[in-house]
Amino acid sequence: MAEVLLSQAEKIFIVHGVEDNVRIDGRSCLEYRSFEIETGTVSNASGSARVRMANTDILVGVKAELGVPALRKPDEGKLEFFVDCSANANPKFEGRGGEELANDIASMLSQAYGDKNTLDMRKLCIADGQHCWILYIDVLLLEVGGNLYDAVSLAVKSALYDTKIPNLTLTTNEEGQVEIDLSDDPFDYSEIDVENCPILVTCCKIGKSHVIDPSVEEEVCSLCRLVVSVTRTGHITSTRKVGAGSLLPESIAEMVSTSREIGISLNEALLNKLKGRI
Amino acid sequence: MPQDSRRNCHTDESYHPDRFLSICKFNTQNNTTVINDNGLRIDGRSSSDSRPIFLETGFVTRSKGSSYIEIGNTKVICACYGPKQLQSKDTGLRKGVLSCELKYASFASAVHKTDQANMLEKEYSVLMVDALSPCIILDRFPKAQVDIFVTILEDGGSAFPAAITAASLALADAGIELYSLAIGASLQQHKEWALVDPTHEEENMVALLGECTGSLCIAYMPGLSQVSMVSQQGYITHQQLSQGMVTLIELCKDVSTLVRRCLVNSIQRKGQQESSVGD
Repeated sequence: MAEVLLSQAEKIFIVHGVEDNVRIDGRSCLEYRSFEIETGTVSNASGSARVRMANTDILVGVKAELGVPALRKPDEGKLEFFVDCSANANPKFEGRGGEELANDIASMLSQAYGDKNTLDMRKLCIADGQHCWILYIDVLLLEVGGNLYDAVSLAVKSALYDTKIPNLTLTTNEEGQVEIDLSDDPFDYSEIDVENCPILVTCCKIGKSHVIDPSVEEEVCSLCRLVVSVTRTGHITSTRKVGAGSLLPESIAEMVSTSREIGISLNEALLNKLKGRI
Repeated sequence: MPQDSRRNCHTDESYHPDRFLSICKFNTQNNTTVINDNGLRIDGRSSSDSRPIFLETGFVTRSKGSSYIEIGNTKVICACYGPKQLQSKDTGLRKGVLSCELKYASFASAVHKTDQANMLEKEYSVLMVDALSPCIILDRFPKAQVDIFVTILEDGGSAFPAAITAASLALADAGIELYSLAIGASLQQHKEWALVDPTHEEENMVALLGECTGSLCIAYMPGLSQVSMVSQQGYITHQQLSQGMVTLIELCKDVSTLVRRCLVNSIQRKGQQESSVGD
């Protein structure tokens, strides 16, 4: 994270404000900032998106490649998440410095997308046990300025929506092997159903209350955050506590239900935007 | 943490012969269920029963504190070293630093350790720091660090929560000042059933059967009545999550009395040894 130094008085100012439902940028505790989404920004990828939320800037590219399905799941494709922390975002990320954060985000994303109800992996299978699509989802952190997990998940979902997978024709030769033909028409493609893809919602415990979509200053003030991944239908696909603090069981329940409500409306808003309904 | 790739002798070309069996087994298992009509699981427990637990301290004699825990077939050994001088450059810290390293033994599960397991180790190590740092009074040793090394000798299911319990037991055995112990517990959600303390088979089977399943793992600090770690994955509803949390907290409270008794016993034993040396 970008280094933000706050004095004790500044911290107290933020904490007291949050307890009175007023934040330093004028929002209330459960208000989300507006953010920009741009899809199709990378020409060499099958799908891509860029999300800019305050000072956080995320670029995601999805590449579809052919591979062999896993032995235990012969009728399913694969998703691979990679996160790259650019040293532009923070000099600390130079060399292997960003590895821990990168692994953390990648594992959180693969947990959130881990269930078959989120993304139908069977549609990514081409021939049972022989060929499948592997989606490489590469996340590049261009700038880090608060609420990183939410921004990354929004960018990933948008990039998946933008992903175009070319249609293939399959023929079986005399030896019973599957042969693949790719048509040369660039507009002969299918899209991925992202309706039920989850979004990560970070809920930040500050003082006695909690806030959604924290800024960098607010993240410094809080000891612990709860990251919840929510689908459009309100199912929860993963939950994780981040940071060194601990929470009362009651406040966890409260924070999860807040994140769930925010997650449902955020999913709805994102899908509407992507489909050009607004 | 340096990773030496040469020490992992696993290659991509080899696989366990069980793979061919398990596909057939899985196909037939569609008929069998994780939980039968009487509400009993494969090993005869009810959904809210946990397995028998064995705890012991002082297993690693050279370390400051150590512990060994057995829950059913799961066996975990843990050693704690320090506080010692901080190695990193951030020496301006007013608080101590906790570092955790969790390792699966190569023979911990039926299948030989894979690259995926290595990723899991890293993830668990990070989660473990999150779970344990709230319970240590880190202000007591500024500019110093405490190291915890956990090895999972056998993974019979619920290995990570067992590792958390083992680590807090080792911390207490090392005499490091704590606000509270941290007790780990996990459950596997299968349809409407919440299977507490799942075995390795149940963890795998539920994942394969699919349909509204999920797993939840928490670390609870009974001394402060607070939860220090939550990790959940799967596809479950909000109600199932909060209900699961309540169930697990009850289990953690039960386990914590056992952990305390184990600590009292170990101190009494040390006292007796010292007095016999004195004579």
